[in-house]
Amino acid sequence: MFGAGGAVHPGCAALHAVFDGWDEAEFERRMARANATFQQLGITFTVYGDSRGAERLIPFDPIPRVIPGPEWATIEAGIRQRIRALNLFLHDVYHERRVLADGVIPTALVLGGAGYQRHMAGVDVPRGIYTHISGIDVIRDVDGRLLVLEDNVRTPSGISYVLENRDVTTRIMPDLFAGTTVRPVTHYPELLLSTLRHVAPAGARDPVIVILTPGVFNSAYFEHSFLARRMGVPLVEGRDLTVRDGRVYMRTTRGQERVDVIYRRIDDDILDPLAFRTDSILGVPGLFFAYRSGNVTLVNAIGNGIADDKVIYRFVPDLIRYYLGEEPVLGQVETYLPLVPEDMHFIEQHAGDLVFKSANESGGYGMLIGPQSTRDQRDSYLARMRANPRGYLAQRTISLSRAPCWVDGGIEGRHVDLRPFALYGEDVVLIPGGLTRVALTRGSLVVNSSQGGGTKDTWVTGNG
Amino acid sequence: MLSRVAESVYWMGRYVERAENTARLLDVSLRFTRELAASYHDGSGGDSDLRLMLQVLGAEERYAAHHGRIAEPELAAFVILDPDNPDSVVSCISTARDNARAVRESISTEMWEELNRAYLALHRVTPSLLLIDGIHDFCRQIRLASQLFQGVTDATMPHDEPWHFLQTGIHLERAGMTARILASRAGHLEQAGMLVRPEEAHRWFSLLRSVSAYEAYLRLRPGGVQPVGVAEFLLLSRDFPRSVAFGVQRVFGEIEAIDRILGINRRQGPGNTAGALAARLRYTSFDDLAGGALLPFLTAVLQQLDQIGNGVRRVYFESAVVAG
Repeated sequence: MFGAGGAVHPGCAALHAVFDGWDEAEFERRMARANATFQQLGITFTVYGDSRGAERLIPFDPIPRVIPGPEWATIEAGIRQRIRALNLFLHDVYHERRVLADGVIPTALVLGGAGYQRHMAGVDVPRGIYTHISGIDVIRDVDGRLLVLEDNVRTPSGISYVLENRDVTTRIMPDLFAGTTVRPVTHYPELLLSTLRHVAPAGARDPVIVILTPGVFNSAYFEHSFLARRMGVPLVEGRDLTVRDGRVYMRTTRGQERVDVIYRRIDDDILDPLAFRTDSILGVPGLFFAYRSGNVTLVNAIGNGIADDKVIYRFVPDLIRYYLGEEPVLGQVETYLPLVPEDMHFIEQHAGDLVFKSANESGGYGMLIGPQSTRDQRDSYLARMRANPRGYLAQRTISLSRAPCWVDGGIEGRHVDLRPFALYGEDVVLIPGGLTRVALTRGSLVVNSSQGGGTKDTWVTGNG
Repeated sequence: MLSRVAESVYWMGRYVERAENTARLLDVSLRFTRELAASYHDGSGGDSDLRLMLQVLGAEERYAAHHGRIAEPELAAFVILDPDNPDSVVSCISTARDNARAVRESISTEMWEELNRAYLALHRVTPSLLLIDGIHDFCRQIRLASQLFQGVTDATMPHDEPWHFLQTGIHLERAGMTARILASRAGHLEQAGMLVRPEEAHRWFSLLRSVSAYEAYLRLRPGGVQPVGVAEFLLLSRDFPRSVAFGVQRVFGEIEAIDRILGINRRQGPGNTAGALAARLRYTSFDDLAGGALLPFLTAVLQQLDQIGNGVRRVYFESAVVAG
């Protein structure tokens, strides 16, 4: 909201004027109403490790994050470009593997990645689309550069908060909207439904679409249920589905009914105990066979994990150049791989300045922040890196830009990121904005909801 | 619709209804025994009535396992708050809400909000607050929450297949509760005579109140409260929405509606059981139930209600038939 020197950003003048008129009591009053609304609507996430499946509210910050139209145009173009490249990459690594033959990425990094699914080699997916639903995390550093922080092309979550945050903001703070042009986001479910219809197996004229959830104890269950409701499609669990003769059916009061498209919110390795992890009780035996036979579409495709692998991330700018012949629109964070000798040398020299990540964990787990760590912690992390060089990476620390937030009775800047959601059907489309996650703890850079992060409504202003 | 969703919606209806019925029964029973004890200066006066209430709730053994005597505070805490009692009011609302949460995409947002509101309100209730003077208000809140939920359901949920499963659950539960309450009093019917003893009269008023039938009875059966008239009304009334006959007729209609939607014409199944029972209740004359025949009749009715519930589960929730 504020630019250099604390001046109010021109796009935010109207908003700033409204908040200027609020005292502490008014902020607290609105916050209380917002929280009561979230509670009443049951917009909660489930905390793991609590056997009773306790439901908590994600902290909501009342001050919208504003993204001016021109900046959004850059983000949008950059994400569309990135997703097209990642999609071509996935098709390539599961078919001709030109990218490996041409030496763009070391073969071992791809075929040895935990996200690489050897069962997918040679499998054709409907319309060649793998990355139907993506959430690409974008940040702005202190110099104002837009950087991709990470790619999420498996089962990114958070879209329900985007829609509900907007809904609650319009209910609780209608006065904010006066004098502003905020682009709508509420049509996302219709876009998603048409994306899902677009990728139905050939021959399914009126496709039956379902969402597959691990169940009520999953941390994102609210979102699964929310999307099913907003699209008017059944929300199924693994136990509702069966596979016979390579076709998927759901158990209904009428008997078994054919299913054509499954938007699954279950990880690859537990989807089908016959093909992947045999101890899965949430999956559907035979599902992979039905998928490979082209009788059912899975959204997103199986095997996408290799495309949002944190190690492969280092090469995404090269992939964009290789597949599209374009320069990347968005920058990204400098990344160093222990597998590359000169990178490892750099890591050892600059350990105190880098952020260390595990290649296969997300949600802020398995991370070490160099500047906030002790020498012993860094040394033991480096030892783990040397033992399993494919499993780790290091990145330059970046200063995330901050956005004004309501904390402890006053307005203070807090670090934010942005997860825009993109859908790949007939074309790659985005809804304006996305999920702004905010690290509400002072100085913290971790914005994940599992680690105390909150969210904000996100406004793209100006006419598209 | 998904079998799992049908099952959840059905149990959601049953548990909301059970919470309401339990709250009403407890409230009326406690007030009745307090008054009885007060008028007879006899602390043990209402003991057997509270025991009967536990029988109606099917909770006598569970209560006895953890509590000794039947006394108001323990009993109220057990019936209302005890999370280890699966049929306590708190457990019923929680179970109903768990079911709602698992099928939120199949019910209206208004229904979910109503149930969620009732659930969240339960967490503000503490035993100490409740047990001093809060029982009546609490029970009233639960009744209102259930009625609001059912009204919102009626007004916001499409009256299609899921709605019929929900109604099946509600009316099966309601008919069962009325039948059990009536059965608990069937033994008193013969000895009650013309209500010469005031506590006997009081008992039959309370019976009417425990199924919310007091005013309806007075209006539809002029001539005052008489045990035989009350029993007949609660068993056979075609118009009163909590009578056994009314509930069974509704259950029959709901199951028929489901099969019509599914396009299935069954020769046997829960719909047939419900239809036969509805016909029997419709054409039974209460005179035939004199001379001790009421209790065996009610026992048979309860068995058939169980049979209908089992049939619904077998036919709709555990189906493995392949549609043509």
